[in-house]
This record gives sequence, C-alpha cells and structure tokens, in this order.
Amino acid sequence: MRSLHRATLSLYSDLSLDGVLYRITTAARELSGAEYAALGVPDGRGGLEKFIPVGMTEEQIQRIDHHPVGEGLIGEMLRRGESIRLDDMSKHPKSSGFPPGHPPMRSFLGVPISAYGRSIGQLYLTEKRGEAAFTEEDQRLIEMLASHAAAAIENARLYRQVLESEKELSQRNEELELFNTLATAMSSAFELDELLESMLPHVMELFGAEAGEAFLREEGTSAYRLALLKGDSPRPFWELDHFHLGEGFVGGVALAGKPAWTDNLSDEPRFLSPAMTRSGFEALVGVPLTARGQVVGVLDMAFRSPRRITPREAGLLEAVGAGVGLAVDNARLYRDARRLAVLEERERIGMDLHDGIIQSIYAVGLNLESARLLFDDSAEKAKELIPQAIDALNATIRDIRNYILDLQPSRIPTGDLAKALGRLVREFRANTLAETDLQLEAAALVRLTPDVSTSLFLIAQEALANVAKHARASRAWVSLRMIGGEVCLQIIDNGSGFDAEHASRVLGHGMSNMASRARQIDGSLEVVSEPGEGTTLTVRLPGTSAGIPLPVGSKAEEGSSTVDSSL
Amino acid sequence: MNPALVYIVDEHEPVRGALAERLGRAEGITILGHSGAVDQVVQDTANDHPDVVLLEIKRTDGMGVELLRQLTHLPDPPQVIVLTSYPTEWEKEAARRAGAAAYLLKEIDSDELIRYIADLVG
Repeated sequence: MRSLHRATLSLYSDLSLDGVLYRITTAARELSGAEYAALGVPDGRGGLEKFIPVGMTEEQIQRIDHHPVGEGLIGEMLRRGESIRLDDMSKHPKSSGFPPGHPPMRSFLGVPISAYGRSIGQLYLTEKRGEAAFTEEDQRLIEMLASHAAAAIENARLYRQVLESEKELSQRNEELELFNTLATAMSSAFELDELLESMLPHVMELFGAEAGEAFLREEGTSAYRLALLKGDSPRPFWELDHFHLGEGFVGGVALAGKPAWTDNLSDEPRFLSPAMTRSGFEALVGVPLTARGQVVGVLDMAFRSPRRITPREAGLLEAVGAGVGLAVDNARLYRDARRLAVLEERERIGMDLHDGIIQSIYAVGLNLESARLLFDDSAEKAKELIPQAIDALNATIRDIRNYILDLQPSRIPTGDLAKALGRLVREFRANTLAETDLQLEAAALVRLTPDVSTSLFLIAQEALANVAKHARASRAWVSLRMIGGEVCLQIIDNGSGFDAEHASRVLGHGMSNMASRARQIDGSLEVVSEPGEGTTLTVRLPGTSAGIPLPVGSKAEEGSSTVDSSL
Repeated sequence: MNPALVYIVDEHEPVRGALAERLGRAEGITILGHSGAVDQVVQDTANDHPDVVLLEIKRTDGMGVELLRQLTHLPDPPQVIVLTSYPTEWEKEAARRAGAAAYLLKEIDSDELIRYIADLVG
C-alpha cells in the first residue's frame, strides 16, 4: 500500500496531461510487476486517441507497425468498462492478435480508468515478471491506482483548460490594449488623412497583418476608393483603385457589411494584383468600416501565412470596423462643419462690409454727386454738403478700424495682463471715442496663471470689439476684481444692448467664442442685456478663491489696492 | 416723354435718402418714394405703380429675393433693378429667376444708372 501511496502522490506533482499519463503508466507497471505497461485514451468513437507504452525500448517501439487501434481486447474493455485478467491473452475469444513486429506477450491485466461513469482511459499490463500471471491482489492495486489516476487526469484536464483560458485572457488583454491605443489614436485625430495614417498600422498590429489598405467611400457615390496603403506590400493589392458596391472582394465586404477572409490567394480573387501572390501573400481579411448604419469604408489586410479567423476574432474585426468607421465619419463631419464655418464666416464678413462700410461710402458718394449738381443752383447749399460728407467718411474710417480690430489675430499679452488690458482699453477709446474706465485689483491679478491671463485678455478683446461694432456706447467700464472670493472680469457698456433671446447671428458667433474660452479656464460667462439698456458681460473664475495661493512677500492685499484706474 | 416713375428699396436710410436726392435731380426721373420695410414697399408699389423699383437685395432679414419675387408677381408689375453693394453668384442667379430686369452694382457714377433706367422705360 505504501508504494501505491507514493505512486499516487507522484501523480499530482506535475500537472501537464502527458506527464500525468506517463507517470500513471509507470506507476502501474511498478505496482503490478509487469514487463510492459501502456495507457490508452479512448477517442470516443470506439478507438484510441492516445497510446502511451512503457517498458519497451525505443527499438521495440519502432519495430511495431502501429499502435493498437482498439479492436480485440481493448475494444472489449471499452465496451464492458470492466477489468480483464488473463493468463494467455492470445487464448481470449476476443483477441485479434498483435500488430506486426509486436514482442510476444502472454499474461494480461487490463483496468479501465473512469471518472463520473465515463471512461477516460485504460491501463494495460502484460508479462508479469517471474510469474505466469497477474494476481487478484495486482488487479485490486491497479484498480485503486486507476481511481486516483482518474482524478489526476481530470485535474490535468482542468489545469489545461485554465492555462488555455489564461492564454486566451492574456491575448484578450493584449487585444484590448491595442484596441485602446487605436481608440486613443482615433479620438485625437480630427483630420481624415491623419486618422487613417495612425489607425491602419494599429489595426494591422492587432491582427498580425503584414500589409493593409484603407478604402473610403467617395462622398455622393457608391464607389470605394483606395486612400492608404501600409506595410510591406510594395504596390496596392488590387488592379483597381476603386470598387463599386458588390464589385470584387472590397466591394463584396462593403455590400455585405460583414468581415470576410480568404485563405487561398492563389485561387485568384478577381482584380487581385499578381504581385501579391508573387511576393508571398497567402491570406486576405476584409473589414467593413461602419457608421450610422452605413459602410463608410473597407480595410483589407494581407498575410504571408494562412490566417484562420476565429469567431471571437470575427467579432473583434466587426468592433474595430465600427470603431474606425465612426472615427472616419466624425472626421468627415468635423471637416464639413469647418468648411461650413469658413463659408459662414465669409458670408458674415461680406454682410458686415455691406452693412457698415459700402453703404456709408455709397451714400457719401451720392451726396457728393448731388452737391456737384447743386453748385449751379446754389453754391452755399452745395458747400453745406461737404462737411457732412467729411464727417460721414470719418465715421466710416472708424467703422473699418473697429472691424479690423475684430478680425485681427489675437495679440497675446506678454505675461502682464494689467499692461495688456491698459493698451486694449486705450485702443478701444481711440477707436470709439467712448469714455472708458479700467479698474484692476492686484489681489485678482496675482491669482492668475499666464494661461488664464491670456484667456481673460482674449475675452476682454472680443467683448470690446463687440461693443465698438454694435453697441454705439458713450461709456464703457472694464474691471478685474475679487467679488465674493472669485476673480471676476467685467465689461460693461451703456450702449444699445440687445434682446438676448433674439441676439443676431453676428453676436452669437462672438458670444460662443467667449463662452468656450471661459470654459477652457474653468470659468463661466454671463451676459446681461436689454435693448437700450447696455450690456454687462461677466467672467467668473470659481477656482481662484483658494486655488492659487498668494505669493509670499506680495504687496497685494485682498480687495484693497487698485491700480491704474484712470486712463 | 413721360418721366420714369422710380421707387427705392434699401434698409439704410442714408442710402435711400441720398439716392432719392441724386436721382431726383436727373431729367426724366420722378421718385415716387422710398422705404426699407417689406410691407411698406409692397403696399406702395401696388398702389403707386412705379415703372422701376431699385432694390437692394441684401437685407438683414434675408428677405431680399422673396421681396423681389412678390414685386414681380404683382398685377401690372414694375421693372425691378437689383442695385446691390457687392455681387454674389447665387444671388445674381436667384434674382434672375425671380424676375429681376437687371443686377447692377452700387457705383458712384449715377449717370450710368440713370441711362439704364431710361433705356428700360423707353
């Protein structure tokens, strides 16, 4: 029994299935005193999937024509599921004899290994050493070993499953990581070309492709045109650079909206460039790029070795196709929106020039024409028209100046917000002739980082440009103060104001600019206005109360000193 | 020859006034009136039957082309000259389709415009 115990313990030390099977066989041979031992694993179809012989020399094994195939005694054991013990197996009615080259054997002990009523293997022992036959005691020992062996085999199988699922898990993790990289690459690229450039290599890496192409649907057509080629294919995969829906491999993927693959490029898919098979490519995988229920493009990847696509990979291909498709769609929408914004901006500029400038000059011109005609009748009346024309032209010059101020690329203050705002207010006053106050509190100024200062300056610049252009104000106030523990920038005018609900599109444009600038520095923008009541624009920075501590040795004291209040 | 009866449509009052003043001094032109408001324009035109309407098609309400269409579809419609500050292709095409007799730019040489009006009426 001790040898059985030792044998049983050894079964658990190594968990690889082949190792376990080998050790079971060796243990059975030693326990029973057999010359030869073997273990067979049934394949479930009446034969054997595995046969592990122990005790034969390599030479002997080589000489045997083939392993037992599960006929004769082995088949009988499989059917009955019971042990068989024989003095001379050749005399058994079910014996089918040995395969050619097999060493002669007489005594036999066969024991099934079963777990949960299912046969998972058999132990075969032959040629009891020094005795004519195996004893009942031998049979009992081996049957006990077999029950432990069953547990060990099940264990090994479970372990193998764990290993496999771990392998699968780590592969999935790897895929997820690549997928994340892909998603990051896609979300940071708004330009379509840039997007494809960064995305295609990621997808190729994800699936281990040696080369890849991206086709994009041409807008307004059903054709998919080659947009990018990557990897080590010197030339495009296909002889066409565009495919119609349903045409060839690429068009087929687009039509089906499902990934497709072919493992045999020598089978010549239509339009395939002969260079592909010449340079050793064997497999192709096509992925539809989908967005909003449409196929916006197709990726095809080429492989130098056959490429099986598992169901999981097919799912991953679809997911990647949907991810990339969405990014392509976004990039297109973004580009369209930008084009539209440029067009709108041009139209706005044209309309502004019409409203403010051409009309004024035209009116002056007409008046001068009339003045010339008037000279003959009454020179005095004609002369009166001249200063009016000069005034009107001066007003027009001011309009143009304000307009340019608004169009100018923003001038970033050189780190000194107080100075920059001072300059801005002086320019504003010169251009509008509106009396303008600037109030800056040191306690507010010292709380601002350079980035926040720049944003506040740009907001003030845009706000004053709006006042100059639309408000016709005679007074304006600009202040940067601490109010309720928050840094507040205010631009107030006494001009025409507007109905906030029906603000013109011109104003709307600038407002959203300022609001987004305020958001960028975690602030809020509030605009209060009524027709005829002027406008108050306030930017609040909630984070500034405790966020940035006062520098040590600063002269600033909360809410007290005011600098440069008059200009 | 009877003078051409002209009505002026422009949102900018200084422009309307100056145009009326200038064209009113030309021989063969009588200014019937001017306005910037859509309703006023349609009503005046229907009542006074001008021969020619000068119309600035660019409007802050975006109703320039529609106003033109309404004028050319009146019974006994006037000839409408679009007189605008800068040209755009789509606007020119839209004006033609809506029945404008001409699409002219605002130039500070009104003799040209006056001759055009005379030709159109004569």
